[in-house]
Amino acid sequence: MNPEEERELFQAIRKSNKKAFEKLFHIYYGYLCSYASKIIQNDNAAEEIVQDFFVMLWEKREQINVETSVKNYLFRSVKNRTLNELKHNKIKTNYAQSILSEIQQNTDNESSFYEIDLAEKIEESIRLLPGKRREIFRLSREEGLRYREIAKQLNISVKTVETQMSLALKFLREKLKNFNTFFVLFSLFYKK
Amino acid sequence: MSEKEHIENFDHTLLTKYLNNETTREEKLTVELWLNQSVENRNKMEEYLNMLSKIDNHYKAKSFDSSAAWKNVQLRTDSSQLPVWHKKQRKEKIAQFYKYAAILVVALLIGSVVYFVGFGSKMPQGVNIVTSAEKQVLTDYVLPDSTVVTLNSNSTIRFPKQFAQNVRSVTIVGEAFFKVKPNAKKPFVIHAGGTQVKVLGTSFNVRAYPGAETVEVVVKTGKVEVTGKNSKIADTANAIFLVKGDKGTFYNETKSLVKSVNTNINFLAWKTNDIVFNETPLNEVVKCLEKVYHIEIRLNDAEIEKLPLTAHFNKKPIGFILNVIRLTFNLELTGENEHFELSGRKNKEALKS
Repeated sequence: MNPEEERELFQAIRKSNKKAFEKLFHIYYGYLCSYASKIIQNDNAAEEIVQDFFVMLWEKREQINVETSVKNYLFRSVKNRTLNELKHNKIKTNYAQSILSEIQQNTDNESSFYEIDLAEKIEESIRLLPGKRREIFRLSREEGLRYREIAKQLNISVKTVETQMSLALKFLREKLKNFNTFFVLFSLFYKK
Repeated sequence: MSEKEHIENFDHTLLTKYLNNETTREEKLTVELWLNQSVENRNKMEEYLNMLSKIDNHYKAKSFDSSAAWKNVQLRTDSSQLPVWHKKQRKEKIAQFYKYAAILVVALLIGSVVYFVGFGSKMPQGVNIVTSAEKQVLTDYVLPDSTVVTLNSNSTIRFPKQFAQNVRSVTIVGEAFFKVKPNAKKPFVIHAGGTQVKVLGTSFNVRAYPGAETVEVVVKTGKVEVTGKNSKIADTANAIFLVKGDKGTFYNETKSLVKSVNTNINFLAWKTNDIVFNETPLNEVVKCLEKVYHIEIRLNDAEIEKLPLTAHFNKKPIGFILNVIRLTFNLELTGENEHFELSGRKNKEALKS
């Protein structure tokens, strides 16, 4: 979904289109939670924050006017809410304080913010892997299983797992490398 | 051209194993040697690390159940006519649920503890004892129920050859990371120091070294209940529920149980080799590295102990990390293999010669 389409979606939401709201929700929920969780170091708290935000967004939909991009607005809002939560958290820890100052200074440290653009591409690239290889890769990276566990679960040899993982990695690198290059060229071209 | 060939020809399977932390000691050294050989090699590794990091983030984002979350949000936005009332009712319903869940858990606990006491009084027949050697992280021991345990150095786990009817009971000394296979009918109970950790299917770290003042449990996923032993079972003040990101600490002396938010982002670094530092003073950095890599690092000057380091090392060889520290603070690094020393540069003149 490009920025133009997102803006249209947002306008639909402002006109009380619940389906549009749901669409936006599903696109952004995971990445916003991931983003918040990196700051507050707690998945459950992150989900609460993001859900609260979306509820507020719907309730105040008529009053909100997004100047920059929708994506910026969503991430910025969630970041602010998360930082507030951290500040008001009764358990004030050293970690919370240090992370607060780092975040306030360092806005480049926001991988989820950039990576959501790659989400479709990553999803598609993984889907293009042949069945068994895709499952092996998923068990390794998504579920965090060791090679031995994967071999046991799928009833194959560890050697097979090793080879398949290697091929998966090679494939994904090719797929995603091209996308990154394209992105760079595209933005260079546009800067004219 | 031959340089490029060299990179392309390097055993890709080995590289992948390294990225997944699956290499043997020798294989790891081979890869590290290859890394040391050129900037191109290191760049390629960096590229892969970057890509894997993006994919991991993608999976992380996927792990959040947006369908379930949407149901919540939909509920809350549909009743926007009477928001306050609806919120309150939901909160009451949730409190009620936990009340019954807690009672159920306590009942289960009573059952499992009583059973264990009965079972434990007999001489343990068919008990397996698995210990990990000093300085070696024993990875991925699979228990009879498919639960996976990773033991840190000098740690022991004791469990029966066959789990009992209605409980899976193990004992640990030292530190271990558990990935418990879900089984609601057979709770998994870990006896660690003065505590009992009960679990239905989650992953978490338990730290119970003999002679230590505390027993610590940090939860990575799921939910866990920790109770202090030598207390009445019905005494709910000495039982705590932990979820992702929580830490439970049991103080051996006072027998008190405290819940807090886990602040040590590196609590799994001994297992994952993924280390994050946020303005961490160098003496703490060194302590963490010593633990993860099983080496000794000495800081020779008092003034360098407080130098704050902000960095993220994901599965990097110790040589690499020490070099980064050396360059960041302009220190002198000596040593090799398992003993290193860092000192402040005093004599700048010596460099010129």
